[in-house]
Amino acid sequence: MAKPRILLVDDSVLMRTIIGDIVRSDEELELIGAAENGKVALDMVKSLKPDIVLLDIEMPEMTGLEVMEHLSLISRAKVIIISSVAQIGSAEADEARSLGAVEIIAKPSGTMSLDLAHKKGHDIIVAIRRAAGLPPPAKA
Amino acid sequence: MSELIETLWQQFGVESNEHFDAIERLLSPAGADTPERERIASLFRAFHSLKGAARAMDMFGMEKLAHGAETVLGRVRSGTLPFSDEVAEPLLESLDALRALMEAAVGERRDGTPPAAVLAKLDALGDPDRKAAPHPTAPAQSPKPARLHDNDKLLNLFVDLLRDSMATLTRPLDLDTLDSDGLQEVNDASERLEIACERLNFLPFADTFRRFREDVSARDPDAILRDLQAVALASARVGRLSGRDAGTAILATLLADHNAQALSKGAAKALDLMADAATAGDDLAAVLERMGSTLDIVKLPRAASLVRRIADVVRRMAPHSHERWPAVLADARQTIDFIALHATSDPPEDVDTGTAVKLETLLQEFVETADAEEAARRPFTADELRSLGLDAGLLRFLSPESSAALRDAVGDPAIGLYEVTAFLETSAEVASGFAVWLGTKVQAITNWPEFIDGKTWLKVLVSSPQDLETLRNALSTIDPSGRFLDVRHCIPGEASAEQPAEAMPEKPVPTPDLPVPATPRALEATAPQPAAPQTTVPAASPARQTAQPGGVLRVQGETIDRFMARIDSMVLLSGNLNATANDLRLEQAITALSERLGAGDPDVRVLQELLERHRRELLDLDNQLSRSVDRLRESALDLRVVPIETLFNQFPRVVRELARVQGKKIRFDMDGGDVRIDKSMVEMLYDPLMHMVRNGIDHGIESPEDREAAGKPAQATLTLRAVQRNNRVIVEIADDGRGISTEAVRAKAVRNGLIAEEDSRRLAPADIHEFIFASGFSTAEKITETSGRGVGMDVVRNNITRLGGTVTIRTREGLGTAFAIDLPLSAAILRTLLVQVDDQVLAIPDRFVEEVCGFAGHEFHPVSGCWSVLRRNRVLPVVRLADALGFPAQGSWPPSGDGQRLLVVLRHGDRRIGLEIDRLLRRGDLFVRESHPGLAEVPGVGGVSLLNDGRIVIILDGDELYRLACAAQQRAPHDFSDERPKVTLA
Repeated sequence: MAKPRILLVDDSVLMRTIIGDIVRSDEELELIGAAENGKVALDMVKSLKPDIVLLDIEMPEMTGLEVMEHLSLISRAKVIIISSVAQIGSAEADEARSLGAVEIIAKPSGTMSLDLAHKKGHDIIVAIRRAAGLPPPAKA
Repeated sequence: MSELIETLWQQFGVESNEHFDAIERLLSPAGADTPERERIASLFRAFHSLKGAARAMDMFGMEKLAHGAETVLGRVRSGTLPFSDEVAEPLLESLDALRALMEAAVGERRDGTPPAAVLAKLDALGDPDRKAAPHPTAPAQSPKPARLHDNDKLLNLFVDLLRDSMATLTRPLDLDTLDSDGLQEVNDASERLEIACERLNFLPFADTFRRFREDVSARDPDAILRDLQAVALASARVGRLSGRDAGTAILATLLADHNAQALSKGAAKALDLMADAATAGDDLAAVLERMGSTLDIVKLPRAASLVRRIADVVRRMAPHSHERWPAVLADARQTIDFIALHATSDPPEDVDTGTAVKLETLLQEFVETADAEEAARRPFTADELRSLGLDAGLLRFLSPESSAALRDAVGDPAIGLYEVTAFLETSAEVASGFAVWLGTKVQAITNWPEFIDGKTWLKVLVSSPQDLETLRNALSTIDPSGRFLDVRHCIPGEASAEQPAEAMPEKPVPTPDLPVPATPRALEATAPQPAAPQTTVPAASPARQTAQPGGVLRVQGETIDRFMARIDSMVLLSGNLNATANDLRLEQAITALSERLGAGDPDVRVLQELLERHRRELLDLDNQLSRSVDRLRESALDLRVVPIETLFNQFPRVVRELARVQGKKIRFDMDGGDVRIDKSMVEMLYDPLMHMVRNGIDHGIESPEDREAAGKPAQATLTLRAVQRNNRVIVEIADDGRGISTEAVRAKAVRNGLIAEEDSRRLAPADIHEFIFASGFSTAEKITETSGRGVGMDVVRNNITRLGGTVTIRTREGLGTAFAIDLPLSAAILRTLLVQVDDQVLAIPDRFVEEVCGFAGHEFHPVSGCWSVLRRNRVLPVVRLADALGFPAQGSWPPSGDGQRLLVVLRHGDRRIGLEIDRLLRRGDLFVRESHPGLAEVPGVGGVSLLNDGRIVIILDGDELYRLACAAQQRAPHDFSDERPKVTLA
């Protein structure tokens, strides 16, 4: 089976590095690109046809929710929201869900620690794998 | 890992600064040009991003502050708080504080405390109970949506088609009355729509129509309804984005009855699955999701959100081993029951807010409890460490094993945690005594290096049943002076920063409560400004502009590191090619071929010559390639250099701070920030430079009154300057202070017994000044807060000498002092081959390594009294690297059997000797660090360095190593008693 192809959308280069590193840590996933705003993301979705889009909500140009409205029409990709705005229960989370986001997770924290994989990075991997129909990662 | 963390810190610095600049601009009067709505949104986003970045880096102080500002701006954005000076001011103050916290975070990798006063102001503004003043600006409008499609005409046609097809599409809902003509019509309509969707690139929508046709032909009523619901959702979206009616309303009416049916069916199925906690898994979540979509269509948002919330919990919590799960599930069942009943009534009713909130709270609590319980089994978090009285930075040094050890220690009330600080590079007795103590008297959990005033201290976290007093006594028997060892009890609930180790030189801890917001502008903002016209926001002061941190590393560190790594793997490949090209067997085969051939078949002879020519070409190419790879590597190394500005920019704040504390007026000038040095040198230079800057301010620069009395301007000038000369860089720290008193230095030197009185009288002033660098020398009459901590210029000079540099002093009494540090630009980086002997990683300078090759044990033969192998028809004597260095050796010797032995072929002029090693690790560029003076005297050792994983590497001195290897070869016990034939050299 081909590896699920993942597009990462976040306006912060730091977040792109951190989340990108998390995605790359799983050999069964393929990070095909990273976009710094919604417009670029939509262009990349059209050309790269990702299977999964990791999307931030609070972004300049277009918010993640605006991106989703378009995305849900033009792409078959599953969307996972990675945002600290969209706490479970918030209006943003509800809207993201009704726009078809398969999962909403918080941004990673505590990156500096050695147990990265056990913390938020783990949640991201679990979410991606679930969306891609892969079994959960083996416990480290 | 550590490379990545380096990169993250750099990106964190760059990104934070970008946000700071943006906030600065938006809050300044110039920012008022931006439309209000956009300005607030951008400010909100900047603080929001800062919060996220700080959180990612475990900088909780910054996170808290940014969160406060974000909350305030959130209220402004939603129109509940007007944007006024009253709001702008605390935002500017938080910007200042954030800047300071970020500098401390990046410079010292530590979290800071945000100023309480600023936090309080933000909290007050962010409090939603605060009475909202009428909002002067227009309510927020949603921005103009991006265009849905480039081809408006095609899109309009599609919208019309979709609207007009709704009635046809819903006909299969009543399959019994659908005749073949009707079926044809339905298929045609959906096919047209599918094609239009493909054209418009609405791919998932096209999928829906295709699936719809399949489900219609399969006559599956549930699936047909599901597809039509998907059409309803998509048409709503198309309608919203195109601004036209895409038939959503018509479809909703046509689907109404069926939606109700679907809801009750879904609810029944969900309740069924929920009956057994064990089956409540992904299937249930999927059923609930579908209910959520239906509830969206019938416009019951609270019910939709609630059902989805349950689905989330179901999915997240599976498998449901949690003891509270059945209870939560029971509540969820009641809710579903309730939703099914009300949503299918006519007209449909949404869940009331009270019920929704109740269940939501319950679910949330459950998830949080379950998460917390899971977290308790996980490795430590930063917060947890802090609550134990430990520094959160310790996380980096906690391996799974040390985490387990720490858990054990924490779990036992009879055991206390202690942090030991040790400096082991001065006294061998202290070092060995300490090592014994550590190994026998306490349980060491983890250790880490800490850079304090130019020296690397060792910090060790230990656990022990003994009390602090006992431990302290034990340490004082090892170190009677009390200068090298100290121990601190880590008391739960007390943060480590609150009780710094006594007698230890501490870095200045930024105390943001006091100095941070003390920029002139903060004062300006509170002071009355009668003359200035009232602006919305106080103007940015010049001080802020000079603080613009333009010099933070803007090179993508990660890219370069990856690049270097790839070049390294290319070098390895080129090495492999070299080995293959030089493979003796090929040469031997060709030789054997030509011997067998003799004068035989001339055609075959031609082939053999062709082969031979190819082999030579291969060797030639290999030669060229390795030269070119070497050049590539050298130029890539250039990429690792960064402007020295990166280092310099860390000083203005310190200078401002010290000047303020000491009541001195100082202008701080920097020059030559564009001189580029290796990025690892930035780190190594920080402490010596900081020490000299502090010294200059402390001892050199006079108080404004003294300066005026001496006829100098009240404001002193301190200059930090870098100049590049060929491949050296000279960094100068100069002040126009009182200069160094030659007489005071001379008298002190005599007093300290460094020189006899009469001898000292004969010395030139410059020679007398040299005493400043003598060990233990300090002219300071008083111990001040900032310098005079017993770490003197001798340490500075030592450090710089170890970096391969020199430091010189120029001073004129009454006029000032200048220190010049002269350093090689990159000599401190050494290209090495990393090998392992026993547990120790050793680095052999690359230029001494000819190659690494493997030989089977039986290929070793004694030649002229030394074990040797035949390499390229030449005898290569071999010794064990461990033997050469006098390390304990592993493995059997002499080698025998088929097992491969690894040899590093050491090159020394024309001579070669083989060194047998246990393992070959990789090539690596090492930054040679100061080595322990004791270690430096060990023969063969050139220095030490650290690997990325924190292991210490001993860097071997090539010349010395060759000499040692030869010596080991001489003295090797000549046990050649096995039956292998002895080879004698022809």
